[in-house]
Amino acid sequence: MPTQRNPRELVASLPPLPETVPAPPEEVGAAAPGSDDPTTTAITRGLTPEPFPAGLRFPPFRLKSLRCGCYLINYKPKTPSLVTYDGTIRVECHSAGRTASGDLYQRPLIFVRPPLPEITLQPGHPAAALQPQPPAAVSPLVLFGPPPNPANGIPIFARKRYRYYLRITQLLEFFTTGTGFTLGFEMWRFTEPNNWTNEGAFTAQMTWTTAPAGYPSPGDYLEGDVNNSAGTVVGRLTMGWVSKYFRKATLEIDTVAGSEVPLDNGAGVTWKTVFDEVGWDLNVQVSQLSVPPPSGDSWSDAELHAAMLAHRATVNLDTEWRYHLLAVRLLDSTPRGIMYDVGGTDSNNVPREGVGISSHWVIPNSSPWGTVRGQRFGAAAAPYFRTAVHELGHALGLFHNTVDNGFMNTTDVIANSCPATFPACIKWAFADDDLKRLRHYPDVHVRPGGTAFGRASTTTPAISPTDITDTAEGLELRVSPVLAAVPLGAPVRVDLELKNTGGQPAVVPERLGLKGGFVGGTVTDPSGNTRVFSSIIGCLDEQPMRTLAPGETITDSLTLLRGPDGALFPAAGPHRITVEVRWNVRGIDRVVEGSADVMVTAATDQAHAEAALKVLSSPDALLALALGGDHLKDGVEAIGAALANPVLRPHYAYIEAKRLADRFGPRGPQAEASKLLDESAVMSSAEKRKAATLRKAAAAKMA
Amino acid sequence: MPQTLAVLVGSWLKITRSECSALYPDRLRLAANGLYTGEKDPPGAFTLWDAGTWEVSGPGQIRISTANDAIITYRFTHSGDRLRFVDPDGCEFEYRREP
Repeated sequence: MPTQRNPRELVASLPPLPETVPAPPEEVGAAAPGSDDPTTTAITRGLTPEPFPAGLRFPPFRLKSLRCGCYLINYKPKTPSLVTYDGTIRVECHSAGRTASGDLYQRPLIFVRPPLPEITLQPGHPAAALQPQPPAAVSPLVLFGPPPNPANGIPIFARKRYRYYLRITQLLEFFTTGTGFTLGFEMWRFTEPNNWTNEGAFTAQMTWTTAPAGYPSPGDYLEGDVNNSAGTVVGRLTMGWVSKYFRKATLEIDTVAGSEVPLDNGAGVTWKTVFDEVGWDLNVQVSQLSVPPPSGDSWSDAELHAAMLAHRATVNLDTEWRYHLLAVRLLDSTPRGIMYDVGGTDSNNVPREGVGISSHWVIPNSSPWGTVRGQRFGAAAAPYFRTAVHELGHALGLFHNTVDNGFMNTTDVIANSCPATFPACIKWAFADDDLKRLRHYPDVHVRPGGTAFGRASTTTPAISPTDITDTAEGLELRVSPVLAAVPLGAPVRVDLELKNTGGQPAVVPERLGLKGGFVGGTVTDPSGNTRVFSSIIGCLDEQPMRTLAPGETITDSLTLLRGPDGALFPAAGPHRITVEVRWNVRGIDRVVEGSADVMVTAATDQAHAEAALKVLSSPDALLALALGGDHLKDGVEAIGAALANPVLRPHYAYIEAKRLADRFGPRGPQAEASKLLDESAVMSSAEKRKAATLRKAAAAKMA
Repeated sequence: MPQTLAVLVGSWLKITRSECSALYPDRLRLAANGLYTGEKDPPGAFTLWDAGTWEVSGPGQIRISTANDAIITYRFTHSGDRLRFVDPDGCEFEYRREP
């Protein structure tokens, strides 16, 4: 999707930049590999920084980004006046930006009869026996029903009120220094049973404003007028963040006596871990464990459906997305599992509510069943749980997917891909395209009681776009932390190595540093929260590419501290860093990814804690790290606090040295900077190369 | 693994264009290991036979796992480069072996 502000516009909005550390000869005029910091080499090439007038202070600027998760939205068209729509927009954050989609439901109206005039008659009056008649032509009052309460989180709307899928084509991909952004979207009108009409393209100039009462995050609320393609204002849109999840649902699990409850794969993968990755808040309720079999051990589809209706908890699918899983001993129609509730023509005319799995099917004692051959299915926790997730995936509207060994592939196909080791080769996740479907399909394709199984499609209506992505085969990205453990408050440095392990030459970016514009990623903290990082300066010009021969590698480094969502390493504990290199070849994004873990150690004392807090809570610290300018007062102060602390000092020494070395104002540069780079200084490979250059320059000055 | 019939193994293109056959794939690939994949043209649309298993269960009978994991028995005839199916509802549709 188009970015709200392209890099050139962004740079134009920045104050003039100081020059950077003097570049080694090979970097002059063409950035060389080995530059690790998201700084200004690329920017200053082709731009002429203006000198700062003495004493001029630049106002601090703050970056705003669109928070990931679910937003409660309201769209009020100008006409007709008695129509308003409530719904949700789901904003997915990834290293390439944001992908979003939404749904609208028409709010019900309330018809109120005006109060009748009171007629008081004396007892005995001849007219007392007459029934008072209302005036013949009194129109009822028409009111909107109550809006959803944002304090309740993700709202659930009545199915019959479903009206539109919002295919979002433009939004704020990363961040802005402004107060809003343009939201672009198509409105796809839905009519039963599965007809979709595109009513046109719209834009809304969304502006952050304070949320009304009840929203859990008052700062993540926006409003804007909606314009049609002719530029006419046709309505108003509000959106307020209500949850970090995209959708929420309940799974009720019942079993017959003797059937295992499928709760995990025996190795830590649970319903929660699976659906947290999807972005669904899935509440699992184990209910009855002795549902009586109607006709022996093996169940027909009709018997499964009847048992669901008879034994599940009270259900209102207009206030709760509730799915039902029944584990029985055997199934009539298939060995392992089935989503029997395919159409709206069963006994309750509601599709995709229920699934069944069998615990007493015996896995054949032959190839390709690997290490679980001969086992009873319910006793083989991994494939049994996988089948349960697979069947729920069908209830969520997904079809089979053989692109990888993820949940929606079939058990047979997976087993045949690794006949000696099955189930070790199961991928415990949904395939990427299925993840997108679960996050961005129209509600009616995923919610129980929506469209019938087989109706869901990514083309009718077209699902919200993301960049076309192709995983780059034959390339491996190795991510190696410079230090396995860093103290709280320190930036984390990682070295990158991109290797061509295939047999063919590959065209890849020449540089992997953050300033090249090809690298982004995520950091997952000990609580499971994931934050993205990307270059805060995009590529300005055509970035150099190169051909990587088979067996050849290129290296670079990253220094990570903050992203648009805040500090990347905000707490002590293990953090997972995932780095993604993404570049474009003829309109198709090619991607290669690598991960590493790093341990953040707790504060050693009060002074360390205070310095860490200062640097972690200062948004300008990243800019100071990246841009190195004196005008970033808060950031420079924060880094100064870190330098004053003996624990953090080695981790910030290079950053400060780089700032001091900038030819900026009257300060004498290199010598002072060089003193900071003693043996204790923590530096990435690329920083070490730059430091050597810095020392050389200082020595030359001294001479 | 399921019992397969060697003459059925290969890639097949649907030549019937009837309404009742629309749920079935335009291209069907039957593998010797008892697995199959089915695909609509253009790809991406729903098909009842998307991926799974197939086995010949008796004379003129084939069992195919379907999109919701139910395994359904179909009647089939094979002659030369043609493969004809009849589903449980009586819908008949035919494939031609892909060159």
